[in-house]
This record gives sequence, structure tokens and C-alpha cells, in this order.
Amino acid sequence: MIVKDLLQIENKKFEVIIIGSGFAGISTALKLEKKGIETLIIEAGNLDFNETSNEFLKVDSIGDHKGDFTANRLRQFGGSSRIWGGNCNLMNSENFTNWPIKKKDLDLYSDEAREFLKLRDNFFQENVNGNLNIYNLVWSKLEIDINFYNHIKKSNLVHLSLGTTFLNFKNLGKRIVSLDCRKHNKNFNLQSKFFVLACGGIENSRLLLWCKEKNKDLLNSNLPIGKYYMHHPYHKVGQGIVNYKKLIEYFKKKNVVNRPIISCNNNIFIEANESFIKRNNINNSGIYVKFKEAYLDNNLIKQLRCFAPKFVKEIYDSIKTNDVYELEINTLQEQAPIELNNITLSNNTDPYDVPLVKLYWKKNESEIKSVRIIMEEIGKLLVDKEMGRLALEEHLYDHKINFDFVSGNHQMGGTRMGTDEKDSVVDKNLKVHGVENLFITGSSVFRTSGHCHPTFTIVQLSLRLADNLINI
Amino acid sequence: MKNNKRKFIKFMILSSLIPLGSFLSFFNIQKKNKKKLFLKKKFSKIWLLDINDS
Repeated sequence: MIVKDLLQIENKKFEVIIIGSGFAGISTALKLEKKGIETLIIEAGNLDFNETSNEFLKVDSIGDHKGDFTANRLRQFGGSSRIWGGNCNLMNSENFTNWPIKKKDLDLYSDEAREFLKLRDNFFQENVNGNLNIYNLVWSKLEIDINFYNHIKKSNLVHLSLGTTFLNFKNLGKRIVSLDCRKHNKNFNLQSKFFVLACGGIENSRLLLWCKEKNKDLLNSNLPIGKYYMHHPYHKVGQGIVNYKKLIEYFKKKNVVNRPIISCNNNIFIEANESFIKRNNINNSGIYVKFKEAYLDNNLIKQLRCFAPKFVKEIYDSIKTNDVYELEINTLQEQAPIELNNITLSNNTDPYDVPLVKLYWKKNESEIKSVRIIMEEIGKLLVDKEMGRLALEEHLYDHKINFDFVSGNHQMGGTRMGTDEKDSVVDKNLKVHGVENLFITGSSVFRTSGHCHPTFTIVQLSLRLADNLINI
Repeated sequence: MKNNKRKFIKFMILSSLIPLGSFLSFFNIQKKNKKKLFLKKKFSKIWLLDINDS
């Protein structure tokens, strides 16, 4: 049901009010609907994007991130899921090492998450040489605006109020009684038993920091709100030459070839496995290997002819039969959670006088070391099995950590999950430490970032949250 | 005398060649069996190569 006038529901007490209508908020609401629980979703944006919304999303960025945070955080129905690339992959068990929940706790929600996101294929992870895995990205065929808006319109249990900006909570001690919000320049007060913050990786921290400032007795003072913020830096890490026939033969032996290994525009995805990560004390990286047909006058082959003539002689015939491919290699890197990378409130405010975000984020030497070790392992495999040669970008060996990257689309951390409130904001059930009825869902609760696209995990976490709310 | 001279020359040649041959063949085997990855900085890149590539 679409709520046009909040006066109609101002005296109604909902079971759950969800702030934010992205994947996290909608998946929570739809799961609660299946169990017969009435919810209200308030979304600050309207059905479609409006440029004035950017005034609420500006970020004062200090540190290494110079990107535009208004391009990947959208204030509209569906949030940034409306410009989502549709890629999903599965966090592996190693990602959950320091989490209060384990992979198996989320695996229970995998089928439901797959159904919700309308995924086309199954996930797989296949061991290659004892140290590396090949995995796939699975594409979703979901269109969030059409599918969910029409569903909610007809629903008697899910209510949606668009253009409704959250302002603050009203509390009695550690219990939230209601929330204040603004729609069409009028303020309203809405009541509920439970409240769920689902506004995205940066907004969850911003709104919680604002609540902490306004309601001194609601949130414990030592909660590390906004801290341990993480990105997935994406950058070019190398190039290479590979004998494609030999590569496929090798995969056949490893039983990988029956899988859809080459997907999403001729990419192969490689990651380090759990034991390799532990042994080398590194973070993981998703290595994206793209294939392009190579010719004799290809620049890389020309270079190799100068200093690796024997290798070029070996692949010469294969080049002529078009079996040699050039590799372009990028990485989507896991970033270690660092307390100093954080979200705080800026001195600048949005049109409703709520402080905007100040973001401090820096690259880290350990991340470059991690991707270098993984790339060297891939290079070693290609040499050992006579499959090809890799050329790594110089910045992987540079201690100044000076390189260009694309980032900011995956915003994680800030309200991380944990058992100790000194280093976490929510507990394993996503309840804010010390507050009786406030929950947070989305990538802001990630304790570590992994290298995976976060959407699938966000949906798994939100479905699990809905189950917990039902059982309280 | 002539025979002795021939034998001596033959002995000298053989004794100098056999160890050299085995020495060379030993390294050839090493080269074939043991692929050693080494890093070479060329064209603003760090190439991961086999020792036998050049």
C-alpha cells in the first residue's frame, strides 16, 4: 500500500518501521509480510531520481577517496539498487573468521536470497592448485522498481511512504517509542514496536551519529559508530599472455571446465583460498581476468620477444592459430577494517539542517602486499604449467601506495557487527548494543569486507533479521 | 710406444670429457625440471618469468 498522506497513519502503531527502501529494507519488509507482519517503509526519495536529492548526500572526503558520492548513493525508491550492476557472489567461510555469525548462519537464507534477487545461475567455487579458487559472478535479472513497487502497491501488510525523510527517534530511556519524519514540509511522528535502519553503507552511520548527538541517553557513548569504514578499491594489477588451449586443458584436469568459468564478458574470476590467506597473513582479492585475442604484433608479445625469446618461440605456432590470448587483469580488493577509516559528521548540513558526512579513508600497504602475493601465485601457476606469463603493474611493488583506483560503490562498515560494544555497534542479531528495539541492516554491519560484491550478503542478513524480528 | 701414446691421449680426452659431460647434463636436467620464477622489471612492468625464457 502506498501511503500518500501520513496523517492517515499517524496514530497507528506498526510492528516494524523500516527506514530506507533499498535491497536491505525491501527484503526485510517482504519477508515480514510473508509471516503476516505489518510494516511501514519510509523512503526519503521519491519514485524516481530528483537532482535536488544530492544536497542530502554530499560527502566531505578527506584522504584518498576523491570520487563523487552522489553518483552511487541514490535517494529514491530502491536506493542505489536502481543503478546496481546486477552482480552477485558468495562470501566464503574465511570472510566470517572474526564475525559473531558464521557462513552457515547465512547459508540458511541462500535459497530465499537467490529467489528474491532472481539470480540466473548457481554459485560455484572450485579449487585450482591448492592455493587458488576459481569462482563466478552470477547476474540478477531483477528490476527493483517494477517488481517491488507494484507488489507493495497491492500489499495490505507493507506500507510505503515516499518523500519521507527521517529526522530523529523519540525514546524512553533505551527504548524507542516513535520517530520524527518530514513529508511535504510537514513534520510527523510515527510509532512502532521495532525500528530498522536500512539506509545504506554511509547513511546508516550518518543517521545514527546524528541520533547520538540529539538523544544523549539513547545510544551508549562508547559505540564506535562510523568507524572501520571499508571500500573495495578496484584497480588494474597486470597484463599477461596465455595459451588458451593449455589453460582449458588444465581446467579440464581440475574438473573446473564443466562450470560456466568464463562469464560476464569473457572474464575468469580468481581468489586465494582460506589456507593460502592464513599462511601468508594477507587479505583476499577478487582477481578479474579478461581475455582478448593476441596477435604477433601485439605489444605484450613484442616486449616478450626482447627478453623472453624462448617463451615466444614456444607459443609462436599457437599465436598463428589464434590460441594465444592477452590478459587484462584488475582486482576488486578486500580492505582490512581499520578504526581510523571512519565516517563522522561534517560542519556542513543538508537542507533539513542535519549534518552531512565527513569521510576519512586511506589505502593501506597491506592491501597492496596481499594482491601482489596472490598475483605472484597466479604467475607461478602459469609458468609451472607452461600456460603463460604475467606482467604486474609497478605499483604493486611500490611502498608509497600511489595508484589510481575506482571505488566507492561498495560502502561497508561503520555500524559493524560484533559481541563487544567497544569495537562493534550491532550484535549478531543486528540489534544496536544497548538499545531495546533498534536494528540495522545493510553493508554497514559488515565486520570485514571480503572481496565479494556485497548485495547477496546484504539480502541474506536482512532475511535473517526478519526471522529474528518474528521470533522476538 | 705409439700404442701407449694413443692410449694416453685417449685416456686424457675421456677423463677430461666425462666429468664435464655429466656436469653439463646435470645442469640440463636441473634446468628442465625446476622452473624457477623470477621477476624482471621491463617496460614499466614487473614480468613474472621462467628462468629458461631468455
